[in-house]
Amino acid sequence: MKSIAVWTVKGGVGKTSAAVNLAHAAAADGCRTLLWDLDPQGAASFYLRIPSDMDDAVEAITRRSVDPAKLALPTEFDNLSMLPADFAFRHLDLALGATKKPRKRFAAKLAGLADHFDLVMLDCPPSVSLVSETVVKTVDAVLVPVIPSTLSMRTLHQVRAFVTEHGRGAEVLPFLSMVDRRKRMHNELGLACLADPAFLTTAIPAASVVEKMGITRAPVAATLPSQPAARAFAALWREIRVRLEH
Amino acid sequence: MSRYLLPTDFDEASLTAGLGAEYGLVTAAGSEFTVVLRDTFDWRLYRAGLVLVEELGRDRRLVLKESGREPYSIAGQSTPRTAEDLPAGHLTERIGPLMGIRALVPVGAARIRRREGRIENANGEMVARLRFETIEPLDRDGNPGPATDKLDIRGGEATAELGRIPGLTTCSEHDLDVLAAARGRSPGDYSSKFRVGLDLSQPADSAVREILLALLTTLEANVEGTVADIDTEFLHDLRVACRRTRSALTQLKGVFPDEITAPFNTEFKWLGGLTGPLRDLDVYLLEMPGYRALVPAHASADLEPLEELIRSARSRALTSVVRGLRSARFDRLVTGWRQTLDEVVPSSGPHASRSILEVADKRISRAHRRILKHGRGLDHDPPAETLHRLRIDAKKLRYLLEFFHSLYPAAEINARIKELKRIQDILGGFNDMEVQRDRLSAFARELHAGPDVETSCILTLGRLAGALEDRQEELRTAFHEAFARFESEPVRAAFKNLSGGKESK
Repeated sequence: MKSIAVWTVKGGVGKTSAAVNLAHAAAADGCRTLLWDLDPQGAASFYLRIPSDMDDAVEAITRRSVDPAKLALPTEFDNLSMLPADFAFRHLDLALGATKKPRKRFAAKLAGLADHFDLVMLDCPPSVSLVSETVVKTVDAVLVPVIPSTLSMRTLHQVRAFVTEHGRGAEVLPFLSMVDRRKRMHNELGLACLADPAFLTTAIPAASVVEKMGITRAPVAATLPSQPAARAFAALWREIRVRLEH
Repeated sequence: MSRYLLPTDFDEASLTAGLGAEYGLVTAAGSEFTVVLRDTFDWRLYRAGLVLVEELGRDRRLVLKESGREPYSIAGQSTPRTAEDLPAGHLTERIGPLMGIRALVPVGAARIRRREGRIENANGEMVARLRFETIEPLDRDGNPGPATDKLDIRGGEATAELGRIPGLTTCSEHDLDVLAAARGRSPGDYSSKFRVGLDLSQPADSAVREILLALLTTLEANVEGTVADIDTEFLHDLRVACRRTRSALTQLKGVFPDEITAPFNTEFKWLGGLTGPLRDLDVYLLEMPGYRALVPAHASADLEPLEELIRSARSRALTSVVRGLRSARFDRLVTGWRQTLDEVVPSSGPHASRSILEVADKRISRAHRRILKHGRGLDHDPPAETLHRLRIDAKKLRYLLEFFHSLYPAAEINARIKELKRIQDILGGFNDMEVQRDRLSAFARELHAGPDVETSCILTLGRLAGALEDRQEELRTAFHEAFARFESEPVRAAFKNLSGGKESK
């Protein structure tokens, strides 16, 4: 089983839509996938029509006796299950801080999922917190959406520095998100990013179909599979899969 | 997931009626397609609690159903036959090892009309995932049987409440029983393990008839798969049933009149001879990866001409087996044998009316004594012929233990089989090496006589023969130790205890 955190400290860069669409792409590719929504906003849960008011959502992370595999809910899509967020996650940092060894506890939770899933995709809150720190210390890779803008790229440096300092060998996989080819700055900065060998080469376009996920409440590929954005997420997933295998 | 049988007049509105006005049922457009359930002929997936479904819809999918888990689904280009054909990932990991060398065959089929749906609350959140299916089982010719309506309900807070709706009856998650029945099969109806339930006081002739009928049924069950060349186990099981039949006829002499069984024994011998060469070549091909490992990596390519030679010999051997199994002679053998077993006059052989337990005790004890006699006093370097004879002796005892398995306490007889198996594995391995070395020299001669064969290829075959000889020597040594254990006092006593017979001196 592989675990990937989708994380950045800047909001509004397409983090949750990436988590949902990539989890859907992985599931369609034959990976038994769990999307774990750790963001108290619960947007990933919203996109997949999963109620974000699960009892034990916090305990699934903090308490040894609660098995997250048993709480996972099937989504409308084959091979894709979900652990939804809960509004109580706004206190998750405190709850996690109260456990003895948060990282060890969370690592055990992830390990317990290996019998049921081939991939766990974690949608992390867009902040530096104990939750993100714990996740980053545990997962195999951290996927970072980057808009070709100065601020967003600055954020990537912060994320990298954080993972280097706290991570335990997690690979940082940045990718270009919400790229608007009509903007000269996007094209120029995008090219500059891709010169960095760590960057995944598939760029996710800024597309209205992605924005409309709030209305369709489904991954793009489930409603409009031939749209460029849907194809880009599938291609990005294939690239991630290859990177994880090495 | 829970699956329910729906009454014919089921009203979908009843699904939300009990939940409250704020809940709604949303369904997508339906689709119609054929599904084929696949398993190995001996139900290896079913026995592990798995059902593999191939959905032949607009996009082909393979779906693995496992109780207590979410179904696993993957798009597939072509129907997998062997474990190597399975798509990488979960399917290969989960069912590849179970399948081993067996191929997948259709065990059920249906025409399905499917509609996906969900129940939503006022916030548009899914409180249950639904799947409506109308299923028509298809027989082997593709003719549809009576349709049933099913509903899958999974995930979400409303699942339990929906299950209580009047009219819904819980049913199996996968319809395997019904779909297999439409093709004349039932889950678990075949196993290569021989098991017949006998009564302790049953007269010998009726018990032996049951054994022989079961063997005949096994033999016949494997004809189609052998002819279609689905996997090598069909021929293997067919041959084992044939050998067991012959062994029963010779070892249980006197139960049936000789003049009735003797002609059939000759015909079963013919069948053994007919199928032997093909089995040898199958074994060779199955061993090929092992042979590759026995020669250095750089010489691996040298084995290709050998493999090609074996493959073409195998295809000729298969042709003659197919011809034989389709011949009037084979047909006469199986129909005649079944008729004879159905009609044979009761109590017509000298031992016919003795109890089967008495006969079993005696034969087991005699076969056991025979092994001890032939194996006793051998030094560290027993001649190949002696080991060959012992292998046959051991096989005879093994068959008896399997025939009469139900007459003895399971734990005890299983323990004796295990002890016997230990020396059988060694003797079998020794014999295989002997046979393979002989065949290897024959192949080498054949290759040498043919055009364009590299010297390095012949040298590699020599190297391989040497490796087989080394392995054979190891087994010779191992036999000495294993036999010492087999003839030790506790094991002898245990055999004596089992059959109540007299102990070998």
